[in-house]
Amino acid sequence: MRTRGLRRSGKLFALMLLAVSMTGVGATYAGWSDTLNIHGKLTTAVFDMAAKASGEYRVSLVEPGGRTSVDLSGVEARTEKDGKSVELLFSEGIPADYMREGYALCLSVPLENGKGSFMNIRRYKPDFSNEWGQVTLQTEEICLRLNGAVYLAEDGGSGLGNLLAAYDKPLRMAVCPSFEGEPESMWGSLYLTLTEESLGILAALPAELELSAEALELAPQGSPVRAVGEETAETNGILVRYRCEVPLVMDQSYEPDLIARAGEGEAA
Amino acid sequence: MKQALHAALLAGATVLGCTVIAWGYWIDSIQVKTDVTVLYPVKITVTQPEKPPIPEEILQEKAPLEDAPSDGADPNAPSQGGEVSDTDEVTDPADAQAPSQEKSGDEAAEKPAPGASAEPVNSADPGSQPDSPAGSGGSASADSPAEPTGGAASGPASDAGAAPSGEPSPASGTDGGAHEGASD
Repeated sequence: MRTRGLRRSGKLFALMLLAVSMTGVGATYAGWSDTLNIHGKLTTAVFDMAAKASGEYRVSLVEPGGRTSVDLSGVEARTEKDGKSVELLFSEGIPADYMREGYALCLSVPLENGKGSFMNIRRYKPDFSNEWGQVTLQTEEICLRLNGAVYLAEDGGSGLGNLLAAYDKPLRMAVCPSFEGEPESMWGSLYLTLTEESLGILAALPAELELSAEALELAPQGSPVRAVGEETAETNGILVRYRCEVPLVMDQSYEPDLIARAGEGEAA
Repeated sequence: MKQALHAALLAGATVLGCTVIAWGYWIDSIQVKTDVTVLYPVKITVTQPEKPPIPEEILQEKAPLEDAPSDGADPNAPSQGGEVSDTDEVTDPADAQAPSQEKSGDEAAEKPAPGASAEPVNSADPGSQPDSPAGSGGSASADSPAEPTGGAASGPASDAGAAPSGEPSPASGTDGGAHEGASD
């Protein structure tokens, strides 16, 4: 009977010893281990370009060789908040002879990086032999200018609209983009030149016009327009206002040695 | 076999979709809008509507009335007197160069024969210098009887714009001397 009691107490002691030792091992392990969690996010670079809200926007006429240009004065720009759309405003008219002689209308937009942007943009000069695409200039308004006065060819019973209907034709222009300037001040430019088809349209326009005085009396008058190279608005003729919308497309098909990174200086 | 084709098609579509997404991700564009005004130089000829000739009876009735003020002491008196009989035109050939628009004497004095210097054909030429302000010389047409448009006459738009204020003369030149300032 006594022997049986001793055996039971021995077993109980062994179990207690095992539990205490297991607890010690667990506590020791917990004391000598730690975990550090690292969270990372890996993305590709963001390519986001925008037109500068305040900058020197330029509109000019560039001769076919690209050596000389005629700057148009009084150019203003309205940019959207995100810089993804810009409207250029200028009051000077362009004599058609410039277009006939192959001058390109150059629209230059100063560029900057968008928010969180990492820009790699290829810098290259315009290649007129390799057009990027074509754009259509839609007729918005036709006027007649005679001795400084401007008469609108609106449907007001004057009949001017019918007389000037030959000018109500859209023009197609070839587009050549370019990106120039220093990395801190990049310029995106669009060069627009008349296509052969549109040159044919211009060639077919009448050089003389005969109209009645009554038509002029009935026509509403517009504000004077000064053309490039004119000191005063004196050349008689037809003024046609065209609406033009062109995307300035930038892509990453750059050549490694021509990369210009905005704000980082010249890249290798 | 069918399952293999289906899998290949799915893989191709996935690759194409990924390519398009990657390409779209690496391009950017800014929309540039503008209005471009182009000036086409054109030679413009403005034709005046031809007026029917005044009946001789009316001319004869008017003649005595017009003679009275012309004999009077005040040659600048406003007139009805703008109209001068044909005899004046004959006696004073210089009047033939004067514009035929009927004007008062004061007006005529202020604008000494603007139509006389106006050359309708030249003024219609592109790039010519308009030497008459807007509203002057209602009808330079009388100065150009040899206008190729026949009875119609050509002149600057400003001339035409002044037409309502004055009475343009017929291109026949019957009123060619109707200009008091010139007759003075």
